Amino acid sequence: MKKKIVFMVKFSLAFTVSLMVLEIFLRLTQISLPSTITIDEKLGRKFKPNARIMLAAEGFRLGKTNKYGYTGTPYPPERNRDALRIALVGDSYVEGHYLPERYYFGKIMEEKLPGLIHRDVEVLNFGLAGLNFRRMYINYTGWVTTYKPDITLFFIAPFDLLEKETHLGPRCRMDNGSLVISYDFNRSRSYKIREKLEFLRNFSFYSLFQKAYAMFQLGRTSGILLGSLNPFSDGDGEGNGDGGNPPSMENDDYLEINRAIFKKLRAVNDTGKSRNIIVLKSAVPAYYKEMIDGMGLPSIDLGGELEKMEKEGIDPYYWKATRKRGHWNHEAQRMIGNYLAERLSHGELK
Amino acid sequence: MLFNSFIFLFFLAAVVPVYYLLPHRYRNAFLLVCSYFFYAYWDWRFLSLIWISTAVDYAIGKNMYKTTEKNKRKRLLAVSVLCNLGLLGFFKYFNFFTESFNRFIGTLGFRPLDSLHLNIILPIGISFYTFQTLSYTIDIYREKLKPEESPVNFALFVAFFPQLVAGPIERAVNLLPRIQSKIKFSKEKFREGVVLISVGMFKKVVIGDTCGRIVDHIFAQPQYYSSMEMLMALLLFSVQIYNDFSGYSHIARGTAKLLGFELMINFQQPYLAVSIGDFWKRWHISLSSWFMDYLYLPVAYSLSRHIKTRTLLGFKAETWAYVVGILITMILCGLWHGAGWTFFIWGLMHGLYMTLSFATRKLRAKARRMFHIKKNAPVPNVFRILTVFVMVNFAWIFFRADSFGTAFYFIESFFKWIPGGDITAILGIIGTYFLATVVIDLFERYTGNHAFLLKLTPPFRYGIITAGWFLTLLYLYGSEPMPFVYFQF
Repeated sequence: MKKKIVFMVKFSLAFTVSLMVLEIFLRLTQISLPSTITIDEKLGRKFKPNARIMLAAEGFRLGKTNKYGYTGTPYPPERNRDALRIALVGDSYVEGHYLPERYYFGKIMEEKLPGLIHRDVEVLNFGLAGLNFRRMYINYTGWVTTYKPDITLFFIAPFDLLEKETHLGPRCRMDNGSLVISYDFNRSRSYKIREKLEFLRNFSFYSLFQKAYAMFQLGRTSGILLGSLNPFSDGDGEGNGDGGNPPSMENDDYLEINRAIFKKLRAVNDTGKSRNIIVLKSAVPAYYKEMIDGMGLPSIDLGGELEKMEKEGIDPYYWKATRKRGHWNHEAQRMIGNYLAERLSHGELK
Repeated sequence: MLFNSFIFLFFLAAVVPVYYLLPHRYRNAFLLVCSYFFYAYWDWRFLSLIWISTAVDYAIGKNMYKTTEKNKRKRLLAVSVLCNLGLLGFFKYFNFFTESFNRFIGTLGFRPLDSLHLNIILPIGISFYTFQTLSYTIDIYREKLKPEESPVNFALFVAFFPQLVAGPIERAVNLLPRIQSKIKFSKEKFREGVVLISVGMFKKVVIGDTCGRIVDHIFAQPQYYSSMEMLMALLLFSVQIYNDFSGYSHIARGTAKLLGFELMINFQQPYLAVSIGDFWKRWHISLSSWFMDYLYLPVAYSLSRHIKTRTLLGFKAETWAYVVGILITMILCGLWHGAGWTFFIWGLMHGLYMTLSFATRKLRAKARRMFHIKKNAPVPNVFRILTVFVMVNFAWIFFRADSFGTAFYFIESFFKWIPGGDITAILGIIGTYFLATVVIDLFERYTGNHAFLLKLTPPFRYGIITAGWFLTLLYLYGSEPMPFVYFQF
């Protein structure tokens, strides 16, 4: 008995020390990093300040969030120079997944625009993977506006408008015909559990678990375990994440909320202090396009430009290294950066 | 079937107990069926190539042994060589030769012949098992070996699943006696096998694959990366290919040990080599010794016999034999790795390194005497290790790059130095990967055993192994498995 206990103690010691060494190894090699995301009471998911980012899937990105908790040059909330400030709000496309920051369209825009408008430009990247349009709005009202941007670009595609709320965080809802942001999530059980277990998210092992759990949720277990003997097909498709089958107006659960948000954004433009512009990453359902245009909310359509690229034989979603389609690649980023700079310098600023 | 997959672990868990439960006379047949299943899991159609190679060499081996007529033996050997190299040549080199031919006639102003290009899939492991069976017939020709009587035993020698697809390239004199013997279960071997598989999986999945996910991106589109990032890709490739292949070899040896077999050691801390010659005694040993025995020595011997004069152009006949022999061997070794001119250059570079080393050996000895440096003094040895490492890494550029354009872009960028990248993060990544690799190497070196964890007491050993498997399986579950780099060869 005593022998067994000594064995178990020694075993546990060796196991724990080895896990600690492996945790350090994971962090330094950046195979897996502690979660870069925290849950903010006002915003929901948000980047942690000064968090390391390493993404290697379709493409490869080694980066860091700045001290304010967004990516890119750390411009403070206070404005202390006469520069045009542009805020970018969107999902992983806007965050600049899978490529070094110097190829990010926001950076390209920031470099090109001063030459066109003869004024310094500050581009602040508030993109965050997984943000849908409602969450973009929540981020905008609760955070982006504190940076007093002259222009805010909202990047949307059908997916962002129609996607159901999955992440923990505040939600937009309609209350007697007016838009309200509900912070009920603070009282939810999952929030309380998450708060208690927040310390786990500071471990690289936790991020690996999360990745594995995501695979499990996607139903990939049988495929991973059985390989080609797997009798159940995973139906693993490919393509960029902005597709999806657009529903009709009748079964669009978020139509009223999205309409109310567009109205709010339009109202900001009317004040003349700041200007909100909708950037369409791909074609949205016609009724949304009519809604945006009908409200007089300025919009820029990237879909057409991306299609043009494809017709010229350059696939804006294709990643050579992994032979996968996904987010905007280097060529697409360059085109978008230049195109937005051109559009903003020509008409959209007026 | 990939070693770094769950299905392989299930496969192994099923094969090992059944193997020991079966009576001896059925075991080899069972292993043969398992080996064919293992291969067919990737693509059953190419089993036929293994069968052709097996049947031809089995028949030739027996006939060759029966006859004492020298010419007939030579003819039989020629048939074996033609058959094996013919298969290899067609599946691996056909498009390479036709594309090179088209490029050549293109430079002469003729229209390329598009019809010469065939959509050929390279059968996994063909470079390995053809070399293994070739060594069998050559050894019988050289009267070093008696042919195997049992077709099942011989077929198992060719297709033994732990080493079928990426070696070690075994010699019949080592493997066949083990196949013929009655294997008893050995606890020690089993334990050693488990440790080897555990270390191998960690090296392959946690070190090799994770390096690969960075390397692949940067080598695919280097124009988007800074010099520091490219340097990271190059250094990480050296870590990746070593851990990938030595990890594979560990798993192969460990798996064989579980079944009571011994496979040869394929890697002995190659990045601690003090000369290029030393590197090749430590890197892919089963291949380098194959080339040494079946190509370099015959070529060098034949050359030294054919050069009649004692000196030629001021150099001794032996020098010519060495230099020409080594250049031919290393170029063919390069082409064995891949059908491409970048592999040709990689092999040529190693040949030139060795020639340079040979040419300067007296000069270096003189310098050592002049500065009173002992041959294996630690400080100069570190310098030698670093020099070899830099040379090997420089050659890796051509090995990894998919074209000369990419290779030269890399080299150019190191001279031009394109700024950019997070230097602190990059240094952290490179340093940690190297530290992990060197630590494992040093343990192997100083314990004299690849299963170095066996030196620890059981609770510590199993504590470390469990933690290693925990990470390996977690990573394996959450990421797409990467095939072994050497599978493509």
